Amino acid sequence: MAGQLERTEFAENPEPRCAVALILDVSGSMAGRPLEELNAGLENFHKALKKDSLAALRVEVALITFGGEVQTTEFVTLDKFNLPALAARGETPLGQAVQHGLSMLRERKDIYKYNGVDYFRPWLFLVSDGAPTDEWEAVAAQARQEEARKGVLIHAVGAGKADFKILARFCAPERPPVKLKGLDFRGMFQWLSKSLSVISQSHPGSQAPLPPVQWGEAQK
Amino acid sequence: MIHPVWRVVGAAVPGTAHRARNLGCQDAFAYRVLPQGALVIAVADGAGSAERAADGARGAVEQARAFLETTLTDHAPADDAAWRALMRDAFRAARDALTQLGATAQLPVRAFATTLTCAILVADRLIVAQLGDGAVIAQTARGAYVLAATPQRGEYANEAYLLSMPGALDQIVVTLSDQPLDALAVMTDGLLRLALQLPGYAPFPKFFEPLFAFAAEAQNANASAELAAFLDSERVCARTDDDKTLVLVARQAVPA
Repeated sequence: MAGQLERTEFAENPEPRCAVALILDVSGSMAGRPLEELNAGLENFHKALKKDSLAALRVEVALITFGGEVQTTEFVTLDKFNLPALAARGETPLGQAVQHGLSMLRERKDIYKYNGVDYFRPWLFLVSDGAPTDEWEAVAAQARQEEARKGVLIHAVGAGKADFKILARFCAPERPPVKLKGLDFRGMFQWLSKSLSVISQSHPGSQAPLPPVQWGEAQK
Repeated sequence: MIHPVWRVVGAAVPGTAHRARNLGCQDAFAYRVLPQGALVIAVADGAGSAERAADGARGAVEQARAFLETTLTDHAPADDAAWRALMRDAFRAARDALTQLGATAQLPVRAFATTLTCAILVADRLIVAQLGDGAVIAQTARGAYVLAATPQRGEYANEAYLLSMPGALDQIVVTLSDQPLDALAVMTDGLLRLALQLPGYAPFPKFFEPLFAFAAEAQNANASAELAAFLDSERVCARTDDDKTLVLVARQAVPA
């Protein structure tokens, strides 16, 4: 009788996905130590998520850098993620970078829907050490709206001379921007990889808590 | 009317993720064959983030099962509207049970958050009521596999519909169908990705056919232990880390 049970075969379904837009400031002011720490943190993030077998299949990362101009990479799972060495230069087109991030996340969700792939609420993770040098107010309003209708989850991190009043305009009131302690980008990325591991393995009604933020302080 | 003789086998086992966090199984199921031949099944998936999820799931299935049993023993609903009303009353009773659990434990009702899926088989009639992401799959006498209750999902993979939520009773979906059935499976979401094909949740025949054959032959006390061992097997656990509940119903195999 139990032999029947051994005959069962399973449907093959794609893994559910969690898209993350990493939006990183690489403007001139990030040159030197800050950028070295950011690169090191990003490398650890990549390694940590690749080691988590389920997160490696489910988390998809796109990198959006802004320094002088905005550069983007496609959403890929961690095994296909090519870690670029970031270089710092130019001004801070933060508004344009977030605009790209929001529309890339929307497109990604459409692709998931079209292909019948389940997905988690995508993350937009913004890091900046200055104030935008481009038009940002309309984009900030759009980001907040998108967050309010639960289309995206936005985390903003400010380092150095970041303008927290401006960053807060991109954030939901309940998730204010976080001020990085010193140059602890490694701690920040470690938290991010752990959090994405938790999210990408959560089930309906059973969201495990995210790890505590020890690498910065919320700016309320 | 001659009622078919149903064989029922059920099992619920904790998922590997729950074991890793030292949580027990937060799924529960209950079923009863009534003297008039009707079969009542309830399954529930307690929400992992609720502190008393296991008690919520257990309370919900027991209350729904008891309510349906008592009411159906009295009288059978006369028409579709009456069947729908019966299911809604059963869910209300289950929700009241959660409220009662909360009052006793001095905890908010959300501490007992759970999904609930109920099915009643009576002659050739199947009545299914659903709140959350469980699923009911039927095999018709003509051999077709039919999704009798679609998992309710939000946009995101980890969104939930729970009996403890405000307005939950308005979210219940009741479906009725009239056709001779050979078999039925009621499950929680832990098995969805193995049993159903996305998108659209089409039942995967190679999953159900052996299980229904197993249920049709099941007659010893070991059957549910064997089903539990299957749900806990390495190849199932390699594909899902969640709690898994499966109640199988099949027409009794007629001896040759």
